[in-house]
Amino acid sequence: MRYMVKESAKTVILLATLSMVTAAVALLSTVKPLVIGVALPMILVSLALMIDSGPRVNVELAVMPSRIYVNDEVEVKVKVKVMGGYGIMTLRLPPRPGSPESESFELTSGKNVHIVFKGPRDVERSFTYRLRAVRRGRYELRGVDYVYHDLFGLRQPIEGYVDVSAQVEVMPKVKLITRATGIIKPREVFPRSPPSRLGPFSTEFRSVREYAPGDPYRFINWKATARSPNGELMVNEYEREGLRTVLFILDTGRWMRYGTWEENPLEYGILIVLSLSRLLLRYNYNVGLWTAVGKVYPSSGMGHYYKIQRALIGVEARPSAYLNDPSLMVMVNETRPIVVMVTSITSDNINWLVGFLKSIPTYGLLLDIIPHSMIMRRSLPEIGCAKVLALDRARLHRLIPSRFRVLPWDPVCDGIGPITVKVLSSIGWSV
Amino acid sequence: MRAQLGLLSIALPLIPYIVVFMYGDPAARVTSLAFMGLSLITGVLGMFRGNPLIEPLITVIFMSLILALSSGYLVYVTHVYVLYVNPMGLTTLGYSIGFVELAVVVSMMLRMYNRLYSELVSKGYSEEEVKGELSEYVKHMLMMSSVAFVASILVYLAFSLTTVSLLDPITALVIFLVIYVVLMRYTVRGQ
Repeated sequence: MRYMVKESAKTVILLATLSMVTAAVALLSTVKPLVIGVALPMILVSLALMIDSGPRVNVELAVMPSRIYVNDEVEVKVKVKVMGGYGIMTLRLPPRPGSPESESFELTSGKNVHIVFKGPRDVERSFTYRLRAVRRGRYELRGVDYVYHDLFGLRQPIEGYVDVSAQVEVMPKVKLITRATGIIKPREVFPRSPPSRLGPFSTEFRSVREYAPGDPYRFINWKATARSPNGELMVNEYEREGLRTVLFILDTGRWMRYGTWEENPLEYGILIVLSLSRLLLRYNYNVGLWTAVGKVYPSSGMGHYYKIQRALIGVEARPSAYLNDPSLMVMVNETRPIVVMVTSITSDNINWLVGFLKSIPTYGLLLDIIPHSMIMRRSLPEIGCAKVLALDRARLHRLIPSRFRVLPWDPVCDGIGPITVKVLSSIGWSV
Repeated sequence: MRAQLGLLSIALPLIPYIVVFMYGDPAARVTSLAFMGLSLITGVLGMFRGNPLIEPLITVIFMSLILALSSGYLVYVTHVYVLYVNPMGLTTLGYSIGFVELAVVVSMMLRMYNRLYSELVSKGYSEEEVKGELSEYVKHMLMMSSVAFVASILVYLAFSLTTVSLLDPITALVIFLVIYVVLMRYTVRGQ
């Protein structure tokens, strides 16, 4: 569009030169009508200077629906009203290039770039286009950029930005394992009905004990506290509802970001955590989630699933996202859950991982998501599953504490279904 | 809109040649035909190359030569005219300068239209939308140019009808230059 300014300015300069030449010829030839050729460019330039004024732009932005799943589409409606000015205007509607939204959405129909000619009257235009979400997250479709060029291009183009925004929440798509009941079930011999250590409190009194961080204040037993010999704070303990507790620990270190923006160990980790959580919650398990950026205390019921889902929407891999949360250890010590650690083992994180798992005083499972195939699929799509690339991981797996069973998973080679069966059989379910 | 612009940019510069052909002597007619042929060739070639500006510029050169060599001070001083165009023809030729200048505007617009169209379409803008909006833009530019043309004729008529105290050519040129420089400064500052 810069070209347009140059071109229009060239027109003006050329016309001005023409008027000079015509004036000279008029003087030499004494042909009076040549005055027309002198006046015309001058009048054009005067007109251009008279009508020139900047535009005022109003924008209304609406996104429907505001909550979708990955791979679903949203409809974006933008209403633009231009007042003032006289010229041509290019508009760039959200998402803006370079923003996270531009990487997380793709245009499926319509355009988000438009050109509008603004004549002497106000112009009102409505644009509609559809975006498909390719990655989960909380997004803000924000801002409309415009560049205005006046009719004759005599002025510098006016670049403007209208700050409007609309929120979109893209939830991770979960693989619904509805037929698992016919294939794999909780094993009867597995202690399905020991008193749950976490989950919603029942009204059944269990005992009085010392206060531990995380205990609700309403359970403080003031009489017992007053009677305690060393003045410790005492709380009532009640039985909890629900069955066994499963605690997912999702690693969010930089190694979880190997691969593409939409396809990497973190995204697959979120997918498997959600799929397993949904299934376990259906069987009345208590399910909890720990990440470096947030936690969801174990609880049961399908309403709890949405808490986990919400917590996972905003999770991002970070350069140094080592888990170092004392409350995690307190919770593990108290409840002895089945720990499912979801990570991607590399030589970068193996030392930290070994130390971290050693510090967890319970048995569990380590799900090692292998990114090789998904990386390779980008450049060599015909190869598909490349399990051979993951052979060297056995060396790293041997370093993991024996209390944790290592389950390698290459998402390109095995779908969610097979890995779910493997995880469930590892935590005590049987075919 | 592109076709109409192309047609205008080729047709408008031919008007002075037709005038000279109608009112000129045989030498002027031959010269007119030769220049017309040259103009047409450059105009058509320019259309294909997306830059038909050369045609109106050739016409301007032709007009300047005809007008300077067939009337006015040069003829008066040397008592020789190279090409003869009768007074009625010279006046009509004078009027036709407006069409040539309009052709310059149209040619520049066509060049801009072509480049802008390809640039925007390659950047993902809707082809139909770009065509529609550029056509609107061109229509408005043409309208403004036509208004300017009519206004300049009115200015000429006003000059012709109004008697003013006599100005010698040098003073007139100085006044013109002052106005020109002031306007140009304003324009350049705007850039």
